[in-house]
Amino acid sequence: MKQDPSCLQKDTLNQFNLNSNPNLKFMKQTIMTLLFIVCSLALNAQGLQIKGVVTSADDGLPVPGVAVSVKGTTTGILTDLNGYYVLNNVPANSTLVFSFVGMITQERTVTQSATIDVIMTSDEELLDEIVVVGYGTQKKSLITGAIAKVEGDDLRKATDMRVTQALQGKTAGVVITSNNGQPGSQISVRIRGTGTNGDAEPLYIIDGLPMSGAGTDYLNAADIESIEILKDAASCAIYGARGANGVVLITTKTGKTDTKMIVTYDGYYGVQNPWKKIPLLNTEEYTMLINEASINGGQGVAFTEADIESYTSDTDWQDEMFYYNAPKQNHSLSFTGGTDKLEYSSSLSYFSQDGIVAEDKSNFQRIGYRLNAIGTFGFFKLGGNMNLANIENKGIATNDRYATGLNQALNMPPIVPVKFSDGTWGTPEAYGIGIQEITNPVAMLSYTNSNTRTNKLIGNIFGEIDFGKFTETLKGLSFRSSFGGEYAMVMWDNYIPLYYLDAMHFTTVDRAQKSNDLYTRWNFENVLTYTRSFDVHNFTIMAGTTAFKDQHENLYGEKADLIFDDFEHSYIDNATDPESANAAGGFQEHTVSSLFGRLNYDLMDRYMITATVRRDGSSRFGDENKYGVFPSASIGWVISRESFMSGLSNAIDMLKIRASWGQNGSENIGDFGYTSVMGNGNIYYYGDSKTQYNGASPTKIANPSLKWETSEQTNFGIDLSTMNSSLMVTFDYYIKTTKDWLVTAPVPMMVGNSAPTINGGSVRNSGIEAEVSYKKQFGDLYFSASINGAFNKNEVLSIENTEQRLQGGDGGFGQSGVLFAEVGTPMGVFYGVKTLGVFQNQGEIDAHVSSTGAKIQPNAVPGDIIFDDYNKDGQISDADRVQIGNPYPDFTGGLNLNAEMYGFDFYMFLYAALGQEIYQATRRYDMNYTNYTADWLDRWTGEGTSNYLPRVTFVDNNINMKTVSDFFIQDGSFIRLRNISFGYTLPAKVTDYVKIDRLRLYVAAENLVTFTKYSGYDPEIGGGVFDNGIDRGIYPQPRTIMTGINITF
Amino acid sequence: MPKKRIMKKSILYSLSILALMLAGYSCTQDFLELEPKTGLTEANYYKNEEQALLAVTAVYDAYSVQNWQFAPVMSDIWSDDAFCGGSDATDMAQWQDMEMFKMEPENNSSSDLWSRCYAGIYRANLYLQKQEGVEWVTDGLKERFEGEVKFLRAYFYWDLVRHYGWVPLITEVLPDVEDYKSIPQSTPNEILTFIAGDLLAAVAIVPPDIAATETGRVSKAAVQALMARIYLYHTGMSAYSGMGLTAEQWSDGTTTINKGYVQTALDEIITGLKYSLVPDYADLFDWENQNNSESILEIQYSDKAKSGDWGGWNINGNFSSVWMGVRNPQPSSAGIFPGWSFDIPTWSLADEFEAGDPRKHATLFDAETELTDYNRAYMNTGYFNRKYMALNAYIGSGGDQAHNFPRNHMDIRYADVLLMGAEVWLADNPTKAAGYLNQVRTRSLGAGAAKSTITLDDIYHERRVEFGGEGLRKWDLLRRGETYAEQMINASFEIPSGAANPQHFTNRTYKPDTFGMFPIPASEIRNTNEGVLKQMVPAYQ
Repeated sequence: MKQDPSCLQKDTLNQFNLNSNPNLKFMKQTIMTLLFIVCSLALNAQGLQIKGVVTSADDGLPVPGVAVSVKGTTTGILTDLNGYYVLNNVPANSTLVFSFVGMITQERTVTQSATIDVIMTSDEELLDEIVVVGYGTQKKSLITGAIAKVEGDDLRKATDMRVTQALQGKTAGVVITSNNGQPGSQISVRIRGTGTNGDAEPLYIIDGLPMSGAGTDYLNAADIESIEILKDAASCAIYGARGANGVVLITTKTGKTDTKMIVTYDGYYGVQNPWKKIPLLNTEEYTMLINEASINGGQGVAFTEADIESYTSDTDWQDEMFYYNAPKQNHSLSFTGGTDKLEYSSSLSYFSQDGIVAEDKSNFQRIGYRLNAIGTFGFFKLGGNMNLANIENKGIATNDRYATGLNQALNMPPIVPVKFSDGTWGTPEAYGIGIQEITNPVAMLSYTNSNTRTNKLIGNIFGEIDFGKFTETLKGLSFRSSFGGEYAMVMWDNYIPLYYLDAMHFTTVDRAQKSNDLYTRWNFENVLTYTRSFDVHNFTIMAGTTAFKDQHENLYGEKADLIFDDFEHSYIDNATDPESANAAGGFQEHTVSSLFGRLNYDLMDRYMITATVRRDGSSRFGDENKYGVFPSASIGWVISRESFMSGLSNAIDMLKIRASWGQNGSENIGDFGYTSVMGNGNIYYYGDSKTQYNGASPTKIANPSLKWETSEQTNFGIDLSTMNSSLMVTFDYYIKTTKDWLVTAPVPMMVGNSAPTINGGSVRNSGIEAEVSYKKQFGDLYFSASINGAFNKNEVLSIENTEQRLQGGDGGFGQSGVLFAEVGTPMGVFYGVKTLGVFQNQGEIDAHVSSTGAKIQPNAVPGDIIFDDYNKDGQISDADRVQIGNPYPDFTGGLNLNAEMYGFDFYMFLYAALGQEIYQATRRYDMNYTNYTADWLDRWTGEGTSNYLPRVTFVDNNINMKTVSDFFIQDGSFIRLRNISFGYTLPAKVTDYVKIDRLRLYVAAENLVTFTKYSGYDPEIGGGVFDNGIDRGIYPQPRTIMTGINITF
Repeated sequence: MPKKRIMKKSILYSLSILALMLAGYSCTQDFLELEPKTGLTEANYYKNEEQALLAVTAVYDAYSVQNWQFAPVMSDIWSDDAFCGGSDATDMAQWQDMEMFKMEPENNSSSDLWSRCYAGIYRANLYLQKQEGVEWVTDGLKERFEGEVKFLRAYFYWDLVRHYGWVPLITEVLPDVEDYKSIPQSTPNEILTFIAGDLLAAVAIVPPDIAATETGRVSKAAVQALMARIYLYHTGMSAYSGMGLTAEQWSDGTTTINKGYVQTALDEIITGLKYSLVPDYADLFDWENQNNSESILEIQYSDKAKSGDWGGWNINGNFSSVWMGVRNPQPSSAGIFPGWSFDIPTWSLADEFEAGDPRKHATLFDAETELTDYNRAYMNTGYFNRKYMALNAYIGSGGDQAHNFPRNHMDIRYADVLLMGAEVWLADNPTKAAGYLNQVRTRSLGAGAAKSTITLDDIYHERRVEFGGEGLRKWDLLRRGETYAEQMINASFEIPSGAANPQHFTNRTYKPDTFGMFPIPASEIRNTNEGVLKQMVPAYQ
């Protein structure tokens, strides 16, 4: 449950049945008494006299302030403090209307003077949120699945480029991790744990159009009405073969009929800074430590006294790479409104963000326009929306040990200046240090020129027929047909200049590169819905079909030796070397065709049952398994509506238990996995002039019986609303088993071709999720808080390859297979040798023996790491690797706090991810001259000096640093103050004067504080299943301080 | 509106909507039947001669694209001609272990070589199965392609048998991948018998002359020369107990490739006069003089494919060039492309050259004298392999520079035919043998260096200085016997006094029970049925 502080009015309404709230009651009573006195003065003694007491069905207490009016006239009165009313001069045979906000309006026909007592019941319809489910909506109280709803207004408080990122910590069981802090970068979303070894991202449905996570980049947070996250299989089953990893439904704003045009401007401007610098060695410390390492390696000093004296530089490479006070801004202007037949909503937005690393080389800018309009013409509704987006994006390598990025800043020796006094770039090579990929990153950035421009058109049109408007017999029957699509053009330009930096970093010619990608997708769906109530039976039947197609076409070209030497002229036509021309291009497509249906039935709004079934056909499967059927069923019971609960009706407003079961699939397996396509990359050359022949052979062994992954999930949930709906609690338990994930069957190499993809392996995720929210008005203070948390346990049940193991992920250089999975472990955990400290003396080395008495680490000298010979074979090898950490948090949760008073508003949001580990692989241990972090000053230098950091040495015969071990594992838990804001809404009398409805000013901060023990830049490191939680120099999340304004006209 | 009309109208609407829904679904079958647009499927291929040629090309590709495990480089590191090198003792651990006779079944070089050979065998087997479906129009083309493919399949099995000894013999593509998991290893003798069959089939059909537009394709002389090379190995290794080979008994069951057969085959190449020694040895490895008159079988490399894939490893240039290059060579005007300092020629090789032999300079690049400075990396001797080392002048026009050196690898050259001729004639016709050897020797050392009578040691000396850095030495050492190999290899680790880096050379002890072979890859044992594959080489048992 989410609270919307900017709409205080609505909340007050929602809480109107909170009669026991003394503050509210007192306030109301005061007002009502005054009104009663005023009204009483106007009493007139003609016609009938009707009187009585209005009481509440909830608690039997009188309700003051109920409007009692004669229908069709202006005559009326309010009940007094005791719920009593007297209405004189009422015409005979007229109708009295009893109305009160939050309660069901009642009518009584009067024929003679009488006492009419009325019992008002609260209108749960009004209190009930409407939740978007697949192909329809449902009242929250009747939902039987596990669906979390996040209101658009909640998302607007964060200023993330991607609206999905703002979901972090908003709902339990959804773990959202930024892959890095670079503007425009992707995020990883895991709903209820990782269920596959492949693509574990959920399905996104944006206004009905299926999208990938990357496809959400065009959305402007101000345009979002709500985001629903379908977590359990029963809710997702309506998306069949694509719902296995959960579904995120994004609904954008529409206008409202009969409202005046509202114009809103939202804008902010902020500056971003890195929140942490990693302490590194300075020149003095560096030369000392390197000399020590060199001497320990038996190679004498690396830097002589004279060398050291001549080193005048002490470069802080982090400072050189960071872009301090990098700007970030957003401006969004929106219009919404409607007439009786037309509702519309439109917006224009601009967002730009510079990265905090590599000024001018890392940024993101988006201009978006959106129009949504719906017209109603009798029985027919026609509507559509259109989004245009223009995105310009530049990026540098992130979390990469080979390319230019922060990794280089961490590894560059401080003795190297950025530039020498003659203006040439400083390089390690100039100091006789060959450290391969590591070189002056500032220089390398100066040679980096690339830009990605994206233009997107996304939209849909729909028509809806309400048959009930023809005839009463067809009431409740409607048909909706909609067609949506995307057309996205991505253009990438790159210019590689001619330069020579050092022996490993040079080009011999300049080069222009360009690529063009065209993405198209469309989705056509037809849905027939019939909603009807017979007596106490309410049901909705829905049936529909969809057809979906997406295509991707690309073209790449490059050519060398340009007649101009700059990025501005980096066009292939300016390149002159015909030999260098190179082109590539391809095409992919994918189709899905589906039939689906759903039955919702409830008896007296108390006993609910929902059943769905979907049959999907996908082009990604061969004839043997073209189609899959995905069923689900769920039940719910609103206990609080039972008569035996009426005694508790004061204490419990709503109590519901629900259970669901369902099956989903995942067809995220790439195209043509079932067949064998001929590859043409087996090149050989014939002839004196070496003519190239593109030899052909099948790219892999076919598996015609390949099918989707299946996930089966059972969910139990409780929803409770108490303390007059101030406190709401939702609790869920789930158990989700994903099987048939696609693994590449490890066939023997002697088969001679790549292994076929097979369905083999299963994993179980089980966990609990809880969300608690509280909101209340205390006099002038409105306060709300919500907290959510989830525990998830992930366990691999089977891996159907001979090794019964999956492994991947590179740690430090030469450290492969850092992440693994086998039966009984979670999916993708760190896997390495356990360390037992540092050998303090030769005696300890001699005592570290196998059962035969042989030394386990014969090459070790004091100061080297002690490794655990886990398999007791007398040597340290890959066979000694065990689970040494887990990149997935045990617990994730969020805390939202909100307060408003006298026009001031305060908001803060804390996010916590606890129990996960990080593999710290930022230092290039494979190269002797790279810089160290300052904690290495506490390395082992003699007996008793350190039992964690080993000695430094150029010759690592003990393989301290290349062995994948828990030496590199660190606690990655963190709690982060993601957002904090403080705002002030000007009083209406001030804004009225300037003809503004509302004006709010605020200051806000993001990532202001992060509590973590992790030593690297940022503990938030997302990634794929086998590339997760490994830090190779991550691009950190910025700390942003901003100021903004919201204006409504 | 009258109710009836409304009813009628709504029935009409309902029907049309249902029709629309069904229409949306009925086109499903076609809608979901997609064919890849950027490639044919296996079922639609192998239909015409052009496709047949490209399928044969894919077999050649497995011969040339060696990525990390360039076989000649690995052979030299194993031998007394080269040290592993690299940046330090942990760089390319799989090679360091190979050099120190410490290979484990998890060794990447072992699995990569195994994998490449079987990929080639798969493509060859698939081609031989599919060739019947090709619409053949050119006379003799089918036979020629079949001969080339069989030659290459024999070559892959030759690489397998000399590196692993006991390997599964797969002669066709099996219907189910599971079927491969129970194929037992054949003995070296069985593998060599199969190789004999393929080579004897090939020698009868591949053309003796290769058109200029087809340079690089297999010729009859290539088949004959490879037969001679394998014959010498087979005969030499027959002395090893446990290998199960019998001298002079290399046969396909009908024809025995024995000394007489090889003498005739080599003489046929020599008297055929299609090949000749390049007059100046230094020109032999000139990058501008590839596929020269001395070339019998040469792996073709070019920069044309603009290879640049560090993930998929489809490297169509000579990747070994950058491996063996000098680290950070100064000055850049020396024209040496910065490499990674692997495959470092030994002092022992340098010492083998007679004074004044120009082959020393053509073989060894002396960085200490030819450069002002460079990064002296692990096991540095100052020498680098000049024959194949990357040069700035030949940086490719596209792709990744390291992947695109257009330097062919000379696999079998005429000088080898002459020296093999000398070896097989040594006992039966010493004069002829000396004549063959002298052709090679006098080219470099002048007529005065000719020898009237020669010994096997003379041939071995000549082979070593003639073929230094070409990947042949290991096999020569092995076939001469365990004791000889042991002496020579252990001697190569005697470090000259005054060497700057003696700590880089820990003692190396030859292990004769490796037979010069690699362990069967551990993953291959894991991925087959239990007990099917065994480490047969004594050192790995």
